[in-house]
Formats: sequence, structure tokens, C-alpha cells
Amino acid sequence: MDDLKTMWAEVPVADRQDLAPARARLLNGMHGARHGRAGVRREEAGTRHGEAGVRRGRASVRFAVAGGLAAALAVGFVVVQVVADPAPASAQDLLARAARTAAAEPDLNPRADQVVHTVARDRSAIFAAPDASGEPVRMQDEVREAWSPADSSGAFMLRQGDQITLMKLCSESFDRKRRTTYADLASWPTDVASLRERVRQAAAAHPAEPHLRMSYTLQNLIDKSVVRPSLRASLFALISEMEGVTVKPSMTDALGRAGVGVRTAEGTTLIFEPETYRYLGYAEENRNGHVIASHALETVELLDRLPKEKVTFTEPGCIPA
Amino acid sequence: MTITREVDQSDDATLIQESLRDPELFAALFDRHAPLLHRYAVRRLGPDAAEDVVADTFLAAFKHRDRYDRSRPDARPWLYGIASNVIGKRKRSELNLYQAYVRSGVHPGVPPVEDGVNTLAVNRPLAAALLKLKRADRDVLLLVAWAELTYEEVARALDIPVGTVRSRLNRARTKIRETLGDV
Repeated sequence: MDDLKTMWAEVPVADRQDLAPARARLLNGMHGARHGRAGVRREEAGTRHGEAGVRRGRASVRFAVAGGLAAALAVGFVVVQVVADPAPASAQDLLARAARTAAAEPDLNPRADQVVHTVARDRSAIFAAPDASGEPVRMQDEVREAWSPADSSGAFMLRQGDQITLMKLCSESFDRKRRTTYADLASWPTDVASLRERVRQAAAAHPAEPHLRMSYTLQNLIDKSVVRPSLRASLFALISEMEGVTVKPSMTDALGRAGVGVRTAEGTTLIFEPETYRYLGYAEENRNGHVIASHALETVELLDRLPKEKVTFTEPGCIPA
Repeated sequence: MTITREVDQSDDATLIQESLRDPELFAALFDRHAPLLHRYAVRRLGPDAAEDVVADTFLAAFKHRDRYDRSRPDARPWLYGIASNVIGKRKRSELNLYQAYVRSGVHPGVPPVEDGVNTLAVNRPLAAALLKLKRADRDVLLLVAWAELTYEEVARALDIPVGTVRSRLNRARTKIRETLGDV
């Protein structure tokens, strides 16, 4: 019996990182049960596979924002830690925490024939001055619901207010390069060194001013990586390497949620949930430090096809979204 | 952020009871017991399946938490009982793991050790012996040896009388002795 007790006793006790996927599945299952859904939704940047919902190979995987799950994360975190972590000592520290949170989330990995459905809130500042300087006169909110083919080959549908527009995505981006699609992200490396090189190559071809190329490329990839949080984790590591990143301790995203931010030298601030460091969205500032635009993603889900909606307008040609 | 020190210090039964009102509190039960349950699952099925075993165990526990016997402050027997059922559905994986170990001497969840030769000399025959046990006997044996449950706790986990635990344990030990010659 003693030999049996020591057999494979070298197996280590699992730590938080080991258990994060299973914990995420539990939280999502709890959330799905609480809301009486058969499908499992995902809080943006917090994919949770759940018993009652996502099964591997299931055709449709639903995800959505909900305060309850955020609360679940917070409660669980407190119970483990009891004493909350101290505030991040630096932008690098904050991004490292955000990377750990993102890395714990399972990837969606859409198939090429699937549709990525997103609901986002965009908040824009209206300025009196034509150069958008000074203080904004007011803020304007817009809900943007999009159904995007994972590989860009099918129709793209967009709901803005009462209008639903159907269009095609261009296979090439504005710089005549093949667009990076949601489906493409599965092939991007997550080890930071390889990713750094891949991002540099992509940034080199970006038509923006040279000093902005890296930042724009990273932001684009962070947005798109809603379907691949493991990649987003490594992208945060690259952001932390950029010169001039600073902590913005008090931010509000486009949904009005309080957050902490990491501001790049170019004026983009990534906003994170202050307790879990879950990515919420981003904000842009003008040269006077006023937020001129912010973006928050509410929902991301995979669908097998476009929903049947009454299209109010069909855009000719294609857009380089 | 609400500090839940009271919950953290509560026994499992209280936590489960409270989770009926506030489901998110059930995550605290996971944080308390998942690390060792995961280790148990790794030993039985390997690391790849362990994550699923842990997730499925706690999801099933959450689903049926209203049936939990509140007179039991320690939920380990309940959780390991559920885990035994989950593992039982993967019987083939467990046997494959033992067979692979007997062949290769490598358990995928065990880091290499310096005295690997001696460890192999002991563990290989044991793995071969575990292969020959009935599932019910193996469950009892490993809940005692690896999960470190008492006989009474194993009885509660598997919903069998303590006498049955003793008889299954004896049968398992006898079978292993027969296989090894001596343990």
C-alpha cells in the first residue's frame, strides 16, 4: 500500500494557471445555468466552455457580456486571494496581468466557413473645432453589430441603428495586401519572439507614418483577436515592450464601465477591468488629452451562417474593413 | 471588490448552501478543492484528460448542489464520488494510460526524477497490477491511496456501505499481491 501511495506522487499539485480552463468552464456553466440558456455565451475576452453549452465540435458557440460572470470572476478571485493584489506597479506589470487573464481563456478558432458576430459600442466626441481640438461639445454613442465571414469570402452584414447593410469585404486591405482574417489568426504564433517578428513584417507594410505602424498593427490585431485570446495575451506582451507606455489609473470604456488603462505614446489607451485585468476595449485621445473615441465590445459569438434579417441596403463593391 | 473572508473560512456545506442563493460563490469550492482533485485525475488519466475531469466534476456538482447533504461539512467525498463517475466514463483512457506506462515507463504527468530506474522498478509492476483490477475495486483502492479518503469517506463518495469498502479494498490488495507476488 505504501508503494501504491507513492506511485506517481511526483505529479505536481495544479496551480491557478493549470486550473484556469476548467475554472472558466465552471464559471460559464454556472452563468449559463443561471440564465437558463442551452448555449454558453462568453463574456468578451473571457471565453468559458460550459457543461450545458459548448461541446467540442458544436456548430454554434455563443458568447456574451454579462455582469454576473464578471462578478463570478471577482468573487472567485477574492476567495482564492482573500487579500487583493496590490495595484500594478507599472504598465508592464498591468499588461502582464492582462496577458495572464487572456491566456487563461480558451480560443474560439472559427472555421473558415463560420461567421463572427460582434456587438460593440462606439462612443465618439463631437467637437466644435474642425480639427477636433479643445474640449468636446458632446459624446455620441453608436451600437455596431456586425456579422463578418471568418475568412472574408462571404457577405458582411452590419446593423447600425435601424439600418442593416449587406456588403462584401475586400480580399485585400487598403495597402493591397491580403487582409488578415479571423480565420487566419489561428496560424499566428503565440510565442512572443516569433510573434514580434510576424508583427514587424506586417507593420512594415502598413501605409501609416513609420512611427505609428507598429502601434496601429498591434491595435488591429488586438481587436481581431477576440476570437483568439491566447494570441491577444502575447500581443499585450509586445505592447509592454513599446517605449512610453504608461498606466492610466482611471478610465471609462464606451459602455461606461470603470477600468484601468495602458496608454501608448501614440495616444491609444487599452482599457482593462480593474480587478481581473480582462480587456474591455480602447480609447483614443486628442493632443489635449481629451478622449475623442472609445470602443467596447459587448458580444462575440460564432455562427454557422448569417441570420435572416431584412437588409435595408446592399453596398456595391467591397469595403476594406 | 467584496472581501469574502467569511465565505473563505466557511465549511464546504455552508458554501454550497450559500451558493444556492448566490451561485457565483460555488467558484470558491472549486478554488478550495480543484488543485488536489486535478492531481488525482492526472494520476489516474494523465494531464490531458484531467482538465476535463475537473471541469465536468465541478459542473455536475454545481448542477446537483441542491442535493448536497448539509450535515457534511467536508465536500471532498461528494466531489471525489462525482469524479469517480466521470473517470469511470473514461475507463478506456485509464487503462490505456497504465498500459502505455507499463510499455514505456513514462507517465505523462510525472516530471523526470533522478532515481527513475528505481521508481520504474516499483511502479511498472503496480501499473500492471492496477490494470487487472475491476473498476469498482480500483476506485476504492485509489480513493484511499491517492485521494487519502478514509473508509467512511469512500463509502460516502461511492454511496456504498463501509463494509463494501473494506471488502473491495481487501479484494484489490489480494489481487495486487497475486500479481506482484508481494506488495
